[in-house]
Amino acid sequence: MFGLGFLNSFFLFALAAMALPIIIHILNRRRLRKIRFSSLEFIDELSRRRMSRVNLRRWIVLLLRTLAVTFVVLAFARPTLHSRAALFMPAAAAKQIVICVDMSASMGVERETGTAFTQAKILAKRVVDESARNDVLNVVASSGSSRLLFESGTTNKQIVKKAIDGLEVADERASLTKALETAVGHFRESELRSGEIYVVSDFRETADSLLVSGTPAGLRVILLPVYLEAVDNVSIDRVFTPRKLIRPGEVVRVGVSVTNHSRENPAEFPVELFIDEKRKAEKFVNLSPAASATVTFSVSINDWGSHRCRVAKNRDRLPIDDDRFFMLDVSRRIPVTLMRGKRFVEDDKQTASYFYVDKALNPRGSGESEFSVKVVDEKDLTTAALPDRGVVVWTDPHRLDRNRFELLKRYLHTGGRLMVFLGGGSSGQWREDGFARYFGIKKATHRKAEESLRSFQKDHPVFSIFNEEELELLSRSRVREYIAVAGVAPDSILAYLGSGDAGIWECRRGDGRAVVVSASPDMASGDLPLSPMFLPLIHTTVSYLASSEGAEFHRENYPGTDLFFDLPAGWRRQGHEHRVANELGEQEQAVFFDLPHGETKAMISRPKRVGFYKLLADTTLVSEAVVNVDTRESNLNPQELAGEYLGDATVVDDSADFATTLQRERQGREIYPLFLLVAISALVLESLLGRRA
Amino acid sequence: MRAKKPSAITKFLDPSVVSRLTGMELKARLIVEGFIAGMHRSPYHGFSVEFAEYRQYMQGDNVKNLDWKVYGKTDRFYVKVYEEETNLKATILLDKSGSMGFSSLGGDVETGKGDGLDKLTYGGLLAASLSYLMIRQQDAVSLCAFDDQIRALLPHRSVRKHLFFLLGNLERLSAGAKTRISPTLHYIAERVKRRGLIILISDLMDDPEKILMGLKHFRHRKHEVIVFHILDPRELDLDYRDEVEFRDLENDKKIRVEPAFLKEQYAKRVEGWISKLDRECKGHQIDYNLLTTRTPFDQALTAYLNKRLRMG
Repeated sequence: MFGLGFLNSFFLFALAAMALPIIIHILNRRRLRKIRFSSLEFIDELSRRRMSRVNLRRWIVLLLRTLAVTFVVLAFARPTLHSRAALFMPAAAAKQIVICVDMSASMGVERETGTAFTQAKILAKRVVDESARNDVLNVVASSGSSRLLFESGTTNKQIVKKAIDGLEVADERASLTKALETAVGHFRESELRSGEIYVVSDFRETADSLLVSGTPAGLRVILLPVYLEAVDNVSIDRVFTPRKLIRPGEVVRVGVSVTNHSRENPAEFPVELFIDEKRKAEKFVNLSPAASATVTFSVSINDWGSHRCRVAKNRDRLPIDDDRFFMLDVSRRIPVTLMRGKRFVEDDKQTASYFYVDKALNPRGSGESEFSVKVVDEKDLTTAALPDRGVVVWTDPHRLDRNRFELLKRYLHTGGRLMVFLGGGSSGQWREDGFARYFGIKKATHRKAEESLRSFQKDHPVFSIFNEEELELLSRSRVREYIAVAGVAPDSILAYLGSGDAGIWECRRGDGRAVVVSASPDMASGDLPLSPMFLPLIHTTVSYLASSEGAEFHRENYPGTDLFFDLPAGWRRQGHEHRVANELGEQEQAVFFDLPHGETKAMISRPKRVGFYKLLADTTLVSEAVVNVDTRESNLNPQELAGEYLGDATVVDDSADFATTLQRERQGREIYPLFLLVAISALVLESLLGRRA
Repeated sequence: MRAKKPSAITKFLDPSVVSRLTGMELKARLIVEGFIAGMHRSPYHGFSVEFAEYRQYMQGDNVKNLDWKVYGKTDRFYVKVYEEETNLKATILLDKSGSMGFSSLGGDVETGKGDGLDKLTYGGLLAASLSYLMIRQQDAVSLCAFDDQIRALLPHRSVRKHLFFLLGNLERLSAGAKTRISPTLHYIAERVKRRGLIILISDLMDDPEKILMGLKHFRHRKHEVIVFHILDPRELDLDYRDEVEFRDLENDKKIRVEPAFLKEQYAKRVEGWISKLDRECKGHQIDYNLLTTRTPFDQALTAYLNKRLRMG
């Protein structure tokens, strides 16, 4: 929508001059030359035929003269054409001017004259300088959130410029749309009828859609891009670490995804891996324009514990995405949650399956084994009981209520590990609640018959450590009751029973996996727990599940979004002062809140910087988390400021005649030459018609 | 033999120069003298036995008329001029209707008169010059001034005294009423019995058919006829700017027009009218001469002399 405005609207009074040609016309008719002529015989005859056309032409001439005068007057009034203008808005009226400054990470791109953000601040201050004395100014600092620097604006230019100077580029991703909403909201609250919103940004290709439409009447949006040219940039996008338990000395594959955002230039650069700030590996990457690649490092860490890791590349014009931080946890022990089913009877521990499994994983009960076992009842299952990089062993499943079953399914889908002993004399209630279907069992039948395991899939990691003799020993153990299942995929069966039913099989669900045993390890249902191979079978299965590589785990924390910390199991927060500190030594009070299913998290709101964050209880390190830049900030190809993206907004680029252009955009494009052209055209036409007249 | 210097005198052939003079006789004399001075041979003839006066020899005069005695005494050439009886009756019909009062040479003509020559004045001067010339060569001249009727009618005379009388009448003429040419033509045609020369000086702003009928009447009576059609240049091209209200000089009719839009068509119409008159006149051995008020008088006088020569 376009509007016509006038810079010198008082000149419009001169439109009264429109009457001039009409007055002259009337006077001319009054001052008509009267000539006595010898004979009107010829003239009379001709005039009757021609003068009607002449009269019409005369009116047209009068119209053209009036038009010419009108357009000359309008040209002197300096007409302007711009979008959504308030017509005839006096130039001297006070305006609400809101400057939205993009503080996103991409604004940190280094240019010849400093960073883009430096230039943005200069532009913002120039807007302040170009504003009228009575304009009310405000600034929206746009990063992860958009905030107004002044509550109700100010007319003091110096204060505004000082506030702009105090802004710093953030590591966050900014939403210009939110910034605009904040600015528009501020305008609506103000009492001023006209306003201007300036958005100073790099307007990158991956920025959010900035369709400016439906802005209130009298408000104009002007975009001020800090640079319009594409800037080559290569970013480290993601780091992929395996979601599995990493054991000391184990070889770990770390994938690093890098992207060349340049559309024209290839990139060659080294990528280095640092663990605890020690350079561990380096690879050289060659990327075509607009290409991505994943570099894989294989490293082993002998020391258990949490290790701060960083991948880095050579510095380019946007340094913030040249590093990426992550943590690698090397575990000394495998956390196991032993979930007890129905058959657990407190008085008769030794008849319960969990008893033998517990004994197998933690023989001495001293916690010195490589497994740290935690025992829960299935009816008490909570999120806290599900180990992030460990295994859940579920013996004799009886029945999970709907919520807990959903919890377990989600755990598996997101990379959890599960070993299930279906049990012998189970009541079978679990078969009706969807659990059986979830594990691919079409039909489950409780059978009482002596059977033994056989037909092992020897090359599977669960059995690969057993030799023939050991497998023979394992096959000698008998089960007296078991669950005969139908519908299990044959290629997932690791061992059969003598009846031909599946004895042990593996299920993959989402990113997680489960090993299901059709029998139950207790004395009541067989002599399996007495087999000398039972202990190795439990160990290898749990180790296999804990160490098997599932989907690569990746959870990113970005600046400007809430940062959560995992707490160690059973962490008691009372009596401690919990603080979160970053590498710069900045500290912030941590907030705790309880999630459903018993999980508790600590968090801080919207960290501003990338890097490592420590959750400290007094002076004790409780947990660590990593914040990395959102790589959508890395694409420095500018957005085409046109079409839907632009909406009703206009663009003023950072050129030498910025002030003039800005003034023009403020007032609209001056179109007085067009008006003069119309006036001249009218005069030329008038002259042609007049001459013929 | 020495002739008069022509340049000084021939300027009086220009109507604009003559219009600044006063006295019809002076004007007529200067026109005629100027005209004669520009000629290579004398236009005079009609010499008689009765001596009238001497005059200087001019190129074209017969040498036999030279007075050799005078030459012997004065060393100058003089020819003897003799009184001769009238050998031609010329009738000048001068239109003094309202339309003849039109002049455009002065610019705006609110009153119908400018500071230039109006057609009546031009026609009057022409009549005076012709009268002067004719009486100088002993032809009898009659003048008839008319508009819608005859306003003055002087008899045929060839004496010099008659010339002054005639010029005095011409000087007093003023534009009159509506034009009605043909009744006057028919009347004069009936009245002039002896075969002679008819000179019609008019803007012919009347029905062409009727005018031609009148002229044919003269031809029927064996008269020789010369028509001097006097028009103002503006009547030919209607060259006016801006919007104008025209008022008819004869009937006060008013028309408001933009002449620029009409002039092209108007000029064609006038041209058609003139060419018709010319064509019709030629068809009946009538000398038709179109003159504007800017046309030098020698053109008209030459036309007359040519006609006179043909008549013998």
